[in-house]
Amino acid sequence: MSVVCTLWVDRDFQGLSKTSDSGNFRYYWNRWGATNDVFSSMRAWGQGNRGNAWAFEHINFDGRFAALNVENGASSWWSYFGGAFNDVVSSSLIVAREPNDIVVPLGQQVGSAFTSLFDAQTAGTRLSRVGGPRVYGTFFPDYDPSRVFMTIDQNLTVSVPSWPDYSANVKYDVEFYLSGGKLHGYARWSHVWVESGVFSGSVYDGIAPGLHGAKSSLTSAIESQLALFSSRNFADVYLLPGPPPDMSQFGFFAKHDDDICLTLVPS
Amino acid sequence: MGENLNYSAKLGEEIRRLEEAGMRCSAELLVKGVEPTQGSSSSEAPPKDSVTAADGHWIGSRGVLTAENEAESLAQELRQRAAGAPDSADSKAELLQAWIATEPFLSQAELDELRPAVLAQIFGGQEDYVTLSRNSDGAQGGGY
Repeated sequence: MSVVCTLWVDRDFQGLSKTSDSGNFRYYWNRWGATNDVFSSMRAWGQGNRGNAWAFEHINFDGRFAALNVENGASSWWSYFGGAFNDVVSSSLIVAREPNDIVVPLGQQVGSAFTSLFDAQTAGTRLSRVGGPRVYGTFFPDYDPSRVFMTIDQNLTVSVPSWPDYSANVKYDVEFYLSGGKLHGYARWSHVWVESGVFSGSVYDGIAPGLHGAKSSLTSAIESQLALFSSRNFADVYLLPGPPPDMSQFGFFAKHDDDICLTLVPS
Repeated sequence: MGENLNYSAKLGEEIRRLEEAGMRCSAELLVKGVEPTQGSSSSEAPPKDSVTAADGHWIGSRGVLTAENEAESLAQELRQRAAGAPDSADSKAELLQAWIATEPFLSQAELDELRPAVLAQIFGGQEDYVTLSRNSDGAQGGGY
């Protein structure tokens, strides 16, 4: 019961290759160390599971990607990634899925809710948003290598009186989980960055406590949004990178920050 | 000041403003100023029903872990398994695991020899590559 994926160095499934099998795992990942930027073709097989395989441009399951969709017993392939994606793959991910899972794209709804919450909390402060947030998946990061998150990534400007503004950024990593079969989510990590400058440290000291502390408000907002699912019990929850895979199509190209999909398995 | 140092345009402007105000930047302030400031904070994980199963590997160079004679031995074992025509799900799974373990250490000739037979044994004989898509970058793919 697994999804299998092979990447080949040459087009048309030729040359050196590496096969990965999800086995009994929901997620199976590879980071391509010394063998990155060499792959030209890719094939996936559904061996007892339906699922998806992604080949990413960058090492941390980010950047552009080529994806394959496979139903149980079926196979799909990119016999050539094309000139724009050839020899760029640096990481890959397989997700073995359940036949009746529910896929919920989160980007638009989470982005809108976060914007409202953030603006309400920062009204009248020196902190303001630059554009809207990016919402994407963060898979097995170095700082928490066993976990998968929905990341909300917001660029900021900090105004300093009689001085040039400072650029800043805040990211929140949200983990979804089941407790008693019910869906929950919480903001596990916050990351704050302030650009270099004479007052970088002072600006950081001024904004970081509030931004880190906002995790609790964000968790409350997430729990409120997830109340929509409170009447149902689930057996598993997992995340898919990018926009929702159309399983009637064999594959697609997209970027990791185009969207993120919450995927639920009803009990 | 700082003509030979790689300050950002922003830091250069800040230093200029400070000097115009008659203030001198200390070496410590300049060193701190060339780096962004960042920090992370985590919350305690609440109790969960279970942890979603995940596994994965960092893939280094091909063949770095196996001596040549061991690679030959693995290839020979793979030939024998593939010739055995596995007919159960378990035996196909064993062949797949043997293939995954051996594949990184095979030469081009061995890959060309073994790959068609092994993949056909594991996944069946549907190896007709029907091209279903093509875009402006020349990408080609398909499925069944």
